[in-house]
Amino acid sequence: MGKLGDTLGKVVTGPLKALIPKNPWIRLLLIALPILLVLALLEPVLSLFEKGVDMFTRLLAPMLESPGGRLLLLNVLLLAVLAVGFLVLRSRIRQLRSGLVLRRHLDGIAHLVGDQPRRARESFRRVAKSRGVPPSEYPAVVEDAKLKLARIALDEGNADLAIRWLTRVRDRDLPKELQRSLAQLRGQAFLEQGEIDAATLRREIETALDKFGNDTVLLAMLRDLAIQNGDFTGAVSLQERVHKHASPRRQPEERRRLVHVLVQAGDAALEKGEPDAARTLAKRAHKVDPDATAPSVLLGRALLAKGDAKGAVREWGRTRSATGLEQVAKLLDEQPGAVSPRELLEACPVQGAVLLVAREYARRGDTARAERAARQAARELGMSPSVAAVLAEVLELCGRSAEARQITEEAVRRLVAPDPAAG
Amino acid sequence: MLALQDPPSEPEPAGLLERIAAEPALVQLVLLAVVGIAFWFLIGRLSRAVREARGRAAMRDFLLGVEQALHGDTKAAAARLSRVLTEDPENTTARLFYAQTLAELGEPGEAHKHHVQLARGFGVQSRRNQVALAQALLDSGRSADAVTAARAAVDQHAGELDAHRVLLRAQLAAGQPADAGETAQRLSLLLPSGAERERVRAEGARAFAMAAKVSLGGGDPATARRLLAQAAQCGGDLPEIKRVAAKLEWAQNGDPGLARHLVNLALPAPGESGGEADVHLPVRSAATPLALAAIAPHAAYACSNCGAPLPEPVPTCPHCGVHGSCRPTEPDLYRELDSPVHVIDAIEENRAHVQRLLQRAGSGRTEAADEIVEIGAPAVEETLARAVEIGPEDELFTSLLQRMGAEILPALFDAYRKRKDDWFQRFGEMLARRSSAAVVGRVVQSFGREALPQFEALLDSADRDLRKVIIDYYIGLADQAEFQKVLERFPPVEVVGRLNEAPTEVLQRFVSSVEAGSFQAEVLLVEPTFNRDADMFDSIDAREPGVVEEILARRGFSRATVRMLIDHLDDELRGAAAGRLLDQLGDRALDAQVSAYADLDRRATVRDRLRERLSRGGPRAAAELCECLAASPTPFDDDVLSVLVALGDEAVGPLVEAYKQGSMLEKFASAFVSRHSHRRSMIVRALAQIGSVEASGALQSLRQAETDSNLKLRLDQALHRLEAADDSDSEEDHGQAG
Repeated sequence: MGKLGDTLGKVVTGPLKALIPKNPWIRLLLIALPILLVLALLEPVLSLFEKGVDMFTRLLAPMLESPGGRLLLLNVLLLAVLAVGFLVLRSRIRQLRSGLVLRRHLDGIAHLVGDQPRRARESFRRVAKSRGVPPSEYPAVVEDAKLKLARIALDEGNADLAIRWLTRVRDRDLPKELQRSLAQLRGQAFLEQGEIDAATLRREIETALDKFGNDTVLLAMLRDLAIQNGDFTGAVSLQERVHKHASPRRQPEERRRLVHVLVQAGDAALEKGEPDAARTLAKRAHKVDPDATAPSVLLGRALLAKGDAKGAVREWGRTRSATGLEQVAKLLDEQPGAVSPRELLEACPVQGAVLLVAREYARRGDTARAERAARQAARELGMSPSVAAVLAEVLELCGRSAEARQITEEAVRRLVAPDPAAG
Repeated sequence: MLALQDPPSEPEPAGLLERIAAEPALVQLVLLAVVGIAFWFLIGRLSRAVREARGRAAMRDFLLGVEQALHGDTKAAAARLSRVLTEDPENTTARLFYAQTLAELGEPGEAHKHHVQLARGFGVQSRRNQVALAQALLDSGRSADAVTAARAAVDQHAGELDAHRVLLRAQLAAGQPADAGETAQRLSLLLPSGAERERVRAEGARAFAMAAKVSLGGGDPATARRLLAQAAQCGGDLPEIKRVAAKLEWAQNGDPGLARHLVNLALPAPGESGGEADVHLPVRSAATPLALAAIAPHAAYACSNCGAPLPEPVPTCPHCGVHGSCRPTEPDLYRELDSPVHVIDAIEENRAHVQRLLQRAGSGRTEAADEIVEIGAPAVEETLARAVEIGPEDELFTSLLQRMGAEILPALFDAYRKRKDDWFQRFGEMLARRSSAAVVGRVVQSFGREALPQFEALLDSADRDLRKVIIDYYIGLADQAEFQKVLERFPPVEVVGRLNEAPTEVLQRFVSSVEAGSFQAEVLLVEPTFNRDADMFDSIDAREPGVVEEILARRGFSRATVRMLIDHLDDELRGAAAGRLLDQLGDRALDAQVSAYADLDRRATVRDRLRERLSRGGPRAAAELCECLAASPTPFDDDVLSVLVALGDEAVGPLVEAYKQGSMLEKFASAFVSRHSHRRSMIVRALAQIGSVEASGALQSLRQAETDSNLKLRLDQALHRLEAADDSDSEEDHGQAG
């Protein structure tokens, strides 16, 4: 009884509690008001009701007077009750079934994050195959399950299966969020599957991007396609959008990638013989990441392409990096004498450049200056591997093999000697 | 049918509704109940609808939020899932996805909080949560905690790749290379063959190599060897492994072991050539020796935390995930030069470099001076200019030129001629009374016989300044045989002029080499225009006075010489020579000696020597000393008196003469001022102290002639004392005889 009473109490008071405000005075007012209103309006309502009942009894009275009529009335009443019962029952069954589907879907998600991918897949599969009325809470449950199945298939590297599920997703009335997932997954599946024509795929992704312009996954896919096609200008603009909309965690990586794409575009421009375009791209890349060395390297190459070797060395030297120094070394290897040692040091004023100067002098046969430069570098840098390598090379070029051998031995010994810092 | 057809006999009873209607109150009550029930039903339906709507919205938020989290719309997902968690805090799935979106939004601390709530508050032990928790810890920089969390995930889910990946990164970040190596080994076994597997194997090999290096540094070669073996199992052909293996060999077996090891690596021993290196780092080229290339770091950058090589500078190490750990392997290579122009000038050893070096040398930097000397001929012109600019007092730059040696002679003469040909510089020298020839002369004076051929070729030069340089060289050479060539070609007056200009040590060297009886000794150095007596005297060898003393004696009297000789009287080495020379100069040097003796500021040792000398000077010295006695008392009266007494009877005559020849002041004031009799009083004292018969006789004769009562009294006192002394002497003689 107690439980029943509680249940009844909840049934009675529950809706009220849910709707009416918490203030007790306002509650009292809200409850009393309709009652008073009804009482005030009782008479006209009652008279109308009376009239209606009277008309109904007048219609029924002839039927009640005959047995056939009474029989007919009984049948009609029975049918009406049956119909109402059927409808109520059907509604209840549908509700139960849709609830079951939804529960399966939720189970699938729980399995997905709970280290049971097989059970998750099974749950989603059953949801995806259900044909009943979708749950009112989440009408797109079936499509969602198909998307989840496609995602699982893609994670497992099964692009064909992913496409199979994605093809069965009904676009109509799909929530925007699921539409976005669908667009992403289709793009990824087609890319992995690799049989779709690139242009077609690009059009599909572009269509999706019309709707979801900020989607970094779609933008990244389109960017990769653009790079594959050699469209670096397009790739740059796409990567700029990726960088703009990337999550904070991915911002540094996307910025680096943007610099990389800009440099790639610059390289392509250089190959096409457009150093000015490469220079513009290098400056853009430098603006994106002033600490990056690649833009300066590209700018140097652009300057070199225009015949300004000294400017190129200056740009490379400005990076104070291994990459910059390597570019200078490469230039001197390929074009000995492209810049004089004085110009080299003025444009690239780092200690490593002194080693390059030493080698440059040695290659020219100016052994005295080569030795002086090498000595100067050794004094400032100590016997590091690079110093030893260049010194040995310079000495070899100067015809002093024995000393070169000694320096190499010394450098090797230093490399294998215990590190003083390690104690 | 009949019954039906029968009309009703009684009035029909009213229907139920009629009956009810007949009772208005009842009807109203029923209707009121119906309305109330309908109203209640409506409210119930409405509230249920609201609840359902809320439930539907929450469900939709959850499911769509999960989907948004999966497709990368992190901001929207976080907003949705946050709403879901507000309504249903127990929705662990929503919380897990929410934590992941927070991590993606760059809030690893917040993400970690939700992962901890899931693990501790709800007991969620799923792989995804554990891995995400470890990752969040790693992102927050708590690598040690991340290792613990990731290890727990690996222990629970042994086949889980993500857990192993996070554990590997966490161990590398936490500086646990040996553990990281083992994790990498396990992960590589789990991974399918492919690029990632190879990368993980290399990671493991590098981690083992690093652990081996640490063990070796800690003095545990056995563990290091074992770890290196594990590194090799990972298939590593990395330079790190080779380097650590070489370190191990060298530590255990020294150079031979290292050479063997390099041979085993199919490499030539250090220093041996063969093949081309496959590395091309910034400044190294293919010509790098193979042994060096094999074990030297291959990448220009490396992670300071996990030691992984990095091809370019990156903000976060891709191996261990530590931020800001990228360091250049040879940072000094990219260090900025203080002044590239200076460096290239130094390499080219050009004028600017030499000028800078000279400036630094002028500030007392010895290393700069050494470098100038090392540069040699290319630095001559600038050094000469600097020396000329400073003038005769320059020591530094001239000495630098001298240190360069005779091989700079061509450059020196070139520089000299260039200056001479430049009218502007010549004019400047003239205005400033400087001479480049003088500097060159000083420089060449330090050169030896190696410069002789060049000077012999120049002997017939008509250039006036060059002739000076030539003479200077031969003076500096100090070879009298070679000097004959100068004497044959140059007039003595020119040579004497250069001798007068020669630096002291050069002149002394030259004078020391002069032979007795030679032209130099007999004529050249005796020339009155030669004015370097003091330097000549300093060149006298104490053990062998020799020719220099003779030359000085021959040069005769000069006040400067006498002053110099007096100054050297107390010289341990040349004091005797000075005395001998003073003796040879005779009376002409006497007054200078007396005046020097009277100079109380002179060194006591010199005055002692002078006292000795004057005591032996005879009547001439006594006469000079008497002239030192003044009408009024002076501080050196006692000194003079002591010398006069020491002279004895030789001083009596001069004393009597001095007594008789009073000064004008004495003569004029004798009648008025008795104290001006001090000079004669001193003579009386001197005679009394001499005390000889001759002195006594002199006193008596002076007493007889004296008219001044005061002096008479003093003379009487003196005679009385002498008599008393004689009496006591005779008594003593009698006593001794008795």
